[in-house]
Amino acid sequence: MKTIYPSILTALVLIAPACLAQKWEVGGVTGGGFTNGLTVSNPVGTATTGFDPGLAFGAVLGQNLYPRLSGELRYTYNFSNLHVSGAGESATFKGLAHSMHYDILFHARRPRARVQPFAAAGGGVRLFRGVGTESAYQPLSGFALLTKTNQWTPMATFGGGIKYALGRRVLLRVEVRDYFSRFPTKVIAPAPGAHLAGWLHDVVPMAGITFVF
Amino acid sequence: MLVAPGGLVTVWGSHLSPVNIANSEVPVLTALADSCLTVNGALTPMLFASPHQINAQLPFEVEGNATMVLHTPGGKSNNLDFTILSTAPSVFRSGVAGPQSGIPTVVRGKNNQLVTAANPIHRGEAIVIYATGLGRTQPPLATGLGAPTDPLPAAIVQPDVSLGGLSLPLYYAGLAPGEVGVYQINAWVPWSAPTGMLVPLTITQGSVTTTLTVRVID
Repeated sequence: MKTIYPSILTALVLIAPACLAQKWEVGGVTGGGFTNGLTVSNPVGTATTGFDPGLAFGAVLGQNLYPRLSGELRYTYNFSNLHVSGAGESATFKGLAHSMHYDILFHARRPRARVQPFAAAGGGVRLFRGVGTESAYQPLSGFALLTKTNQWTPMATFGGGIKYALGRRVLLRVEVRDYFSRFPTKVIAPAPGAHLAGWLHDVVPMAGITFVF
Repeated sequence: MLVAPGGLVTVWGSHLSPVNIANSEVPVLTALADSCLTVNGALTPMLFASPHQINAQLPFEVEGNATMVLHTPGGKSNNLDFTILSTAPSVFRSGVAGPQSGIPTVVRGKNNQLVTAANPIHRGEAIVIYATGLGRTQPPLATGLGAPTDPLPAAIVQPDVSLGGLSLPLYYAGLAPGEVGVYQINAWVPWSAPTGMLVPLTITQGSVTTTLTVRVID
């Protein structure tokens, strides 16, 4: 048995580069989302609002278009609760987001390389959802209203990562993406007389396994 | 001052009563702490009395020109002349949510909580508006009595409720069961209702209109 494991390992290493020459890639990724907060102001002061860090997972369907260029259709689901805080008070509201986008990947090395760094950019749409339990009173409601509603926004994605061939048809992906969109001001709505506007960066480091064929 | 038969009113003044006292009995008593209020000579049910405030129900029987007089152990007030309209809808602003008060008593059917900016009206749901001043009912009810559940005393003059200019279908408009002088309007918010942070909710009944603003979302 002791000789079998090194043999398997050796075989995997030898055949691994072939993975990156395949046409299609499909798999799943998981990670966490981290977003920037925004300042919301009203005539009496300011507060901070945005989305809490949360678990993210998704699916990838990719196609190698050219030796160093591939495209992939992705779906990502984020658990990201809504929050507003300031003046010693805070409020949270359960939330989530669905992201659907198509990215172009630029590979840094030749297709059969075992380790394949890549940069990605693309665009799509994102559905923000406030799904918490509504109540007549929400702290800091004079600044921002955490709302049970849905909001679609267009978004752009940027990022990069590394594909590492674990086997002939199996890749380990480690990557980070920035989901870049307008701040969803229906889900986190500025209160009357308050000002809230800006851009939302949701930086999502992820790792996953994909299969090529 | 727009008031209607059977509606609840508050009288502000001084030396209205020697003590603070609230009445929770039904039928509602027409004298509290030896004070009583008359409208055109008829005794009115009193819900609350204090040196500066009296809450009472106007008689269902009186409409048109009226004279109110308060009788207390210290003497009789001067006459207050006013007009009782057939309808004068007015939404209570007595709602409380956390530290916030003065909230209109509009309740979402979905969670039975007051409509506020944090608890907005959603399209496609029911709301209940608690108000007074919707006037006489069918079947009629004696002044000071709590409204029965069966048959429900519906307002004779049907109100029109609109949200952002869109007329809402009503399921009931009449006295709230068990309540004295409190009416409720049950309405449905269509999917086509306008959305916004400050959408006007207007109640029109007869010649009188009252408007407040509510938040409406999808």
